[in-house]
Amino acid sequence: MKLTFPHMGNTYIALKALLDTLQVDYYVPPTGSRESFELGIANSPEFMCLPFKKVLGDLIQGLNHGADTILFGNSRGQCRLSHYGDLLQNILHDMGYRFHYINLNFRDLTYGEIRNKLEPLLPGGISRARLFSAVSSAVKTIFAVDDLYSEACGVRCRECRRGDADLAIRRFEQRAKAAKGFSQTRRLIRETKDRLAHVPANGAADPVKIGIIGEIFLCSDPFTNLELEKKLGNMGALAVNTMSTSEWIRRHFISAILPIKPKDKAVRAAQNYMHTDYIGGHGIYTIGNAELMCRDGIDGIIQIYPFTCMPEITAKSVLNEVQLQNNVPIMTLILDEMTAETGYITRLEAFVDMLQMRKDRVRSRSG
Amino acid sequence: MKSHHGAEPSKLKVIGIPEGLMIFEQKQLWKKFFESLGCHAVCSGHTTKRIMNSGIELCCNETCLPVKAFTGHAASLCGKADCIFIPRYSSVCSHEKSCPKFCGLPDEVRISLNNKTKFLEIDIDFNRDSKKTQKSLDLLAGELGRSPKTVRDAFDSIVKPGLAAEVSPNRSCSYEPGAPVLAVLGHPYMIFDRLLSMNLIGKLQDAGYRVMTPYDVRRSVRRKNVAPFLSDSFFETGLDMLGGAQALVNLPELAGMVYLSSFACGIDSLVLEIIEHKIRNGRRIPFLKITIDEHSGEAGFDTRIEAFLDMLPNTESIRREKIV
Ligand code: SF4
Ligand code: SF4
Repeated sequence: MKLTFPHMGNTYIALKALLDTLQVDYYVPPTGSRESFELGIANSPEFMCLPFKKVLGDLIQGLNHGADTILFGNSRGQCRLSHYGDLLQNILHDMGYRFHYINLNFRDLTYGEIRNKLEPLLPGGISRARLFSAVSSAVKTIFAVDDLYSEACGVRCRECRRGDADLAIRRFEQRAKAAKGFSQTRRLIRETKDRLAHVPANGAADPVKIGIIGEIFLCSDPFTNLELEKKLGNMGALAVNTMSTSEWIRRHFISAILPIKPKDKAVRAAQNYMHTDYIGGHGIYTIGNAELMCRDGIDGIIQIYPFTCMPEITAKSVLNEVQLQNNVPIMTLILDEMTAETGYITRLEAFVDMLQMRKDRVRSRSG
Repeated sequence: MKSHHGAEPSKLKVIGIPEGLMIFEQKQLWKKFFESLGCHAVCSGHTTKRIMNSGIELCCNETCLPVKAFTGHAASLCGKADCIFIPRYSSVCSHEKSCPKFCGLPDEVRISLNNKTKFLEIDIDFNRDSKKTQKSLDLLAGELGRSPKTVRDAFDSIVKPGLAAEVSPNRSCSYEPGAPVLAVLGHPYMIFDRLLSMNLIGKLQDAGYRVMTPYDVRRSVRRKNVAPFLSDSFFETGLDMLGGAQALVNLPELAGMVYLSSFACGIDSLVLEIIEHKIRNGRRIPFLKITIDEHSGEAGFDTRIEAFLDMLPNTESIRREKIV
């Protein structure tokens, strides 16, 4: 048995450590691979959302490299994600692949669910306690990795020498691929953080702060979002990503095991505009987080979503109003597989410049 | 919040009902519902060029044509009604769900129309939470100055049975024995709307075909024909299309299938793929996908249909019959 799974941002780092610990044989599809993406695009329905195409591409790579078992899942939400699994299996079968499909229930991602689905993979079986501790370590690792990336955002926009933060992260990613198990991964994260802390910073830098909102897969996956965080940082802007993988874990895993579900701050903030707490996907968080960041004094916001993403289109119509009410510029980036990097960079640069000018104007007025 | 046991008479006498999206099939229900509560209901009528254009102007560019049309319908009611009614359809029965765009539709339209007029909402979410419906009905009762019980009763007796109606109001009544059949698939608010569909059904009929849609098949049959999915609920129109297509594919007279879809429709991208997968692996009937948006020209549309019809095996014989 050999397992494979699709990428979503940097989750593979934690997932790899988890599978190492459980001694499951696996194949990680190449990260940041245009080739996988092209495979996914070529075999997907034209108007399926971008995340689907990316996921399909990764799985094809996995199956081509000897994997016979796929780990993915489905949610019970209102959107297409809940049917990715059906479609993936149809398409892969039509392509002639035969495989075993493990379907995690994302909406109810409890320890019990994880155990039910993973246990058959572990030939020798595993004690409940060991599995739980491994899964908790994986969750912690996801948080730690996200934390590392957001620290990198803070460093990148202030660094004296452009590229220091990128270099640290690149080194991290290279070494993470070879790391085995949780302790090595944790050590690597610590070392990288240390390295970032020692990047010489320009004390006078006062970067514009840009919030990132939108569809969660795109927000959290640097390959599909064309390294949005990195690009903004290298333009001297501080990127604040509201939709990281840990956000996803918080919503799907942590909230599934909590006995009482706390009312979400972002959902509450969205009620200024919406008479509902759910519009499919994470659309309501897009609106709510935009409103919250505006209240917190953000300089600008970027909404990013894949072409034809239904919840985000609804959210976009509402963001016009959020922008008017708060007088904070919101730019929307809609990505598809044809999005050209040059045009993308131009739009980002124009946006950052505009925000910088606005900020300077305010400062000179008050100063 | 207003008192629910409204002794005060409501000022909302005329209710505007936009005839698009989910209301397209169900406007009679909602009309009757409001009339039974002593209101006057005005519907926006067929989609016109004018309605379409105002919708295109008001909406965010990326959204699909039917949402734009719907917004245009709502806009056309401003000034003609005291308020506009936009239900929030999340799911009409358990294990089924609507397009996510319906879930935010009332808010989206309200904001697109700049809060110009008053809006009435009702939540319909029978898969997840039917209590929401009750709550929203009580609010509506307050707005209309009627007792919650009256409104709930009206909903239960008039609307609820029709939300997942066994027989569609849009079933075709024409029957020509022997004529070859073309199945037309797509959302009811697309295929039955003359303007949005560029009169697809009429054109196929003029070409000598009998047109059948999933809505000619009873709902229970449509549901029976659908394979199980991993997730415990599926899109309502998806089930209609898959189950309908499955029922129609077995008709011996079936000559082909046409799927009319709106550009960038998220639901269709998924459903189409599942239907094509079925056709690839089953009875291989000629299949045409047509995607339209506000830039689609009618000439190009007609050409594609003609090319498709030319390709069908028994075209010759129909043409001949029509000439004699
Ligand atoms: S939220 Fe957007 S990207 Fe995710 S499944 Fe829905 S349409 Fe696709
Ligand atoms: S189902 Fe498709 S056409 Fe209908 S509202 Fe949703 S995206 Fe638009």
